[in-house]
Amino acid sequence: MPEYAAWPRKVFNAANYALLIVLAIMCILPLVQLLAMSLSSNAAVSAGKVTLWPVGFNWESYKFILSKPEFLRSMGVSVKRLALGVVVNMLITILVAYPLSKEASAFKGRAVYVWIFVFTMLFGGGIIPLYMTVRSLGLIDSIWALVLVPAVNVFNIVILLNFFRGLPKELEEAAVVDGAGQWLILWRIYVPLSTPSLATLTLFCLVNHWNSWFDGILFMNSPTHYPLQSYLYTIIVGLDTLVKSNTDVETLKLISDRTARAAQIFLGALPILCVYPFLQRYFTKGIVLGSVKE
Amino acid sequence: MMRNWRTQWPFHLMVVPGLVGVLIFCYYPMAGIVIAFQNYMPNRGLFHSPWIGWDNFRYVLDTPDVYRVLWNTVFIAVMKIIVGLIVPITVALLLNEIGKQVWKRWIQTLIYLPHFLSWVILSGILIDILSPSEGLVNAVIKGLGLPAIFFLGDNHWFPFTLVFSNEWKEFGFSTIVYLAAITGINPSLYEAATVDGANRWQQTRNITLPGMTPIIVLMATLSIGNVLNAGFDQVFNLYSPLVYESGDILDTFVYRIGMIDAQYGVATAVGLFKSVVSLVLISISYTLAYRFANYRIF
Amino acid sequence: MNKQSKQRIRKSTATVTLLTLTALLASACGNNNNNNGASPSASATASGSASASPTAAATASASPAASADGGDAFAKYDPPIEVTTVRSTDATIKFPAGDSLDSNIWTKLFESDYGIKVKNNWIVDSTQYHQKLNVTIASGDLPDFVEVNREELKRLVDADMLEDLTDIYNKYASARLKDMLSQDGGVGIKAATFGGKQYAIPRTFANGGSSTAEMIYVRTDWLKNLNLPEPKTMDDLIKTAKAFATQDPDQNGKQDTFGLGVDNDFFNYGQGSLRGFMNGFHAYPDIWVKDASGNLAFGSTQPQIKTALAALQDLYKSGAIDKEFGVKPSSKIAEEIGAGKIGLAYGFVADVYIHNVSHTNDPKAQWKVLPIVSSDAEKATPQLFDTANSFYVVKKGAKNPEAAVKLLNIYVKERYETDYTVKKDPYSTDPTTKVMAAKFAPVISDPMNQNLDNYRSTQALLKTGDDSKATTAAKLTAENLKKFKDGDDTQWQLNLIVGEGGSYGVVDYYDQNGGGVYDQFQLSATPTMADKLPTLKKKEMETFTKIIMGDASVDEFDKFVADFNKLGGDAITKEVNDVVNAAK
Repeated sequence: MPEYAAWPRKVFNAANYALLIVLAIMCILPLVQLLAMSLSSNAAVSAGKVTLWPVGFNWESYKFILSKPEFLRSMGVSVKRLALGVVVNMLITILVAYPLSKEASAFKGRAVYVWIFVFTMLFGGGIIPLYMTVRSLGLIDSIWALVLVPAVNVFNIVILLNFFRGLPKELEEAAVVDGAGQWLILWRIYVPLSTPSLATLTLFCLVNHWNSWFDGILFMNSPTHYPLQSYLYTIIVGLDTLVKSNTDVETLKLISDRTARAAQIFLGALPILCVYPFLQRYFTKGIVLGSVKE
Repeated sequence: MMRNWRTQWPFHLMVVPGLVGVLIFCYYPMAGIVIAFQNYMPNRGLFHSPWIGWDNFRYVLDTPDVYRVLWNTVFIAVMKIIVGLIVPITVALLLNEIGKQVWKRWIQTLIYLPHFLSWVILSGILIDILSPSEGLVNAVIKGLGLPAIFFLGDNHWFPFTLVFSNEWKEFGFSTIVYLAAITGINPSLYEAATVDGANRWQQTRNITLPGMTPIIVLMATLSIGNVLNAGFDQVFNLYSPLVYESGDILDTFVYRIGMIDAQYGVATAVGLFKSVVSLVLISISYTLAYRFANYRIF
Repeated sequence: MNKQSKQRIRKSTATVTLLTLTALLASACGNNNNNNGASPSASATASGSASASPTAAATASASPAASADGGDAFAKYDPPIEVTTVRSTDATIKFPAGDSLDSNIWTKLFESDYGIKVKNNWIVDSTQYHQKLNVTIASGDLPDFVEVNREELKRLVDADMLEDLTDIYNKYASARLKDMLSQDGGVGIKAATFGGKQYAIPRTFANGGSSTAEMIYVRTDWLKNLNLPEPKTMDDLIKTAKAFATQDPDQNGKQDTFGLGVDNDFFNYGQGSLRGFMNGFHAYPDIWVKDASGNLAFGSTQPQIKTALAALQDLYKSGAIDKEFGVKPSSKIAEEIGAGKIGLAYGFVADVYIHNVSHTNDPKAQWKVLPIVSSDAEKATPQLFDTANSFYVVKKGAKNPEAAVKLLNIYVKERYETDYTVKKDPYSTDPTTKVMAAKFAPVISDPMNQNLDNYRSTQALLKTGDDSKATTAAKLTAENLKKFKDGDDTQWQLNLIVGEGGSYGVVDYYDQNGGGVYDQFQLSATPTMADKLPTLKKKEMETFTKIIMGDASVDEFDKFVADFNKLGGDAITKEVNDVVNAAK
């Protein structure tokens, strides 16, 4: 695209860069503070002296956390959950979104299905009946409870069906003429052409699974089966017990509850923070559409 | 009919896994909604607990503060919905104007970070930076010669503080879906427009925005369902007796009732009320979108 | 933050604090020793262990004669039985290799010696225990026996899900257990009794009674800088607060200190509380007290509160209270203490670690803990935390309803009756591994004054120098305190707990001067209380905060009382008195 050299454009560009950079800085500050706190000394953090740079620099919090078997164990549970959960999520999302993206004339009964799904976004029976259901299925204390209960994400389905609709109809018509079935059309045309939206939804699924902590506590019968966020939640809330613990006395001399907490939160967020830049490269692939001349 | 089935059976089959999922984990537990009309007793179970009709709803409506609480909830939630649409869409469009890919990616990544911090953490930071005496924000305000503002302690400002701090946390993450929508726009349209001599603003108005419209309408419709969700975690971590008047919302209200006596019936009744309101509003906006924009969002 | 909910939260935190106070003592000891000698002290003090128990035992009961126990109290089951329960755990619980809550020294002992196999249906982190328990209860999945709080107890009784333990307790509880549970004057058992039937066994904690009172923490180096005496009266205290705020007590030439530390939820525990301040005016917020006519009345609506609020409003006006206190949670107050901005605050016996931060950041910072002060000639009496907050209950229809009582018998016997002067105590903290096996037990109850007794034993030793009667714990603590006197500053925190001018000295003072005031209504919430009290307490916090900040006049209090009574207060008071009279 040719750039417009006119000065209003230049002014706009400068202002735009400035604005977005300021926004970005505003967003990064709390994380920088968290990082600084995790690398500071107990007393400095407890007195609120740490802003953006560590005071009394030390690595103790990280050594302490990484030496704890709970951290790595729950990280393992989380990874397993993500691997299973995201695959199940995305499969169901694609399979349901595709037929629902069709016109009512092409898929009789779609309206009924759509509302069956949308209704579940709005109504729920609450925790107790859900717990009883999971229990009667024998899924308590199993990783499948964490994978299957959130398996159908209607929000993602609705978004994807809108993206599917945005694809040119001509592609499908041409494929039908060539004798391709619906399964083939879905996997060979729709899915490859939707990489940006699929990447977006994969990110949403990853984040959902990564961040949810309550189901871990609800469905798991032992802390040894907790995913990372459930474990972290108990640490963040239960700081009283950590700081006043009569165990690890020597370590607690060096790290306060707050430096350890900061390090836990930072370590806990880090993996998911790294996912986005990786997925970003799929966001520019929309160009493939350009090859489809009408 | 048979003809339909012959060509359309793959569609039905594709829906099956999702359908089974919602039937088991959504519809079956939905039987629990009956608790809203019961004095639920665990030892008697869902179908043998005493029925008390609308008493749970009446109980909530009889609480002296409830109308104030409802008003706060709707006011905060509606502002959040509006700001939550405008800001991410604007930022997505502005990001689209950034020519250098490296910059674009860095900014995208950085603005998405606050989404991952919990309100427990952020509340501590906000108390510091919003402090009238020492906070950064008020330093700027005072620098401009204006009187300091007690953002977290003043009933006039508190709802706005909630809305803007929430937006600060979430706008980066919400932007992603609009960016994906922009990426999905056929580049040949821009090429054609450029040939026609359209400038960037005209391209944005005539191609980018229309291309995003389905997603914008969809997000707007879905967010309207949140009109009674003002954000429990955020409010709970930021409010204080000073701002109960403007900050107490439906969810904190239910939470408080539940603390002395876990009243499943009341909590379920409030939940049901919220669901019904959401359903009505979403149905209305669905219909409006169809009638005026001729677009079925789902 | 909303009053009721946070109170609940902090209430549970307070319980945790009580539980772990022993641990605090331990880490203080341990912290201050760089050699291995630290650990025995840690272990002994921490567990309130057997080494301490002879004293505790001696003071607690005359002589628990084994013969007083019926043959049933410790009888072995043959064939063995299995009972189910649920457990909470936390980051501080450490296990020897191969052990867990499912299999440890206790479960092995129960199984081999008593024929009881204990099975845990689930284990959850202590922060989520009650949430998970509520789901379990609501889905009708109650285990054979379980630990519950007062509200859960009431709900379970109402739902008729619990076994009547009246006869079982009388028949199976050991003499020692009965004696221990009567130390609170029967409050616990009474709270567990509904309609004349006892449905639960109360759990008592090692830091009960006087240890739950509020006290004054003050920076003595600031007092010295300003030539002020230690506050002995409310007038002193107010003068000190004003001076700390305005006369630059840290002498840094800047107006950057506050007078009295107050947080936004000031009727709760932790630094920044105002309970102790209110108590100085003979006002007792949020608990039920006897009024002039002998009936129970809600403390927050009594006229003494108004006087205290007027004093607070005056403090606020004069700048002695932070203008922004209304949005600052207790954690911020702790931060400001650590940063040297606050030198005067009311708090709880276990808050010393906060002041240790202050001392670490600024070695000049010296703190002392004082008893609360009175606004008039009458002595100030602190209000105390309820003793009966945790209970063990048995599911209705459980096959062996007496098993829980027997498990508790065994716990008490192993911990407090067995003489460990001749053999090693396997339950208190192990010096090298830091494992405290006592915590693994599924049913626990400890004597209320355990840590206070430890303090006394240490002080007696320091005074008399006669260590023939002293416990191992006392010996080590005394040794460390001597080190502190000789200039070892690493013992600073320990000194602020059990040394001169320390928090336990204040507890001891309270205990010897008539104790404190308990909530006179220690039963479960009445119907109107459950319905209306949350809203009324919200109103209370709103009004009191406004009055202190001068946004409302002190007379607004009268309007609050009228509203409070009209909107449910009268009904609640009537119910409370009816329930109490019926229980008499």
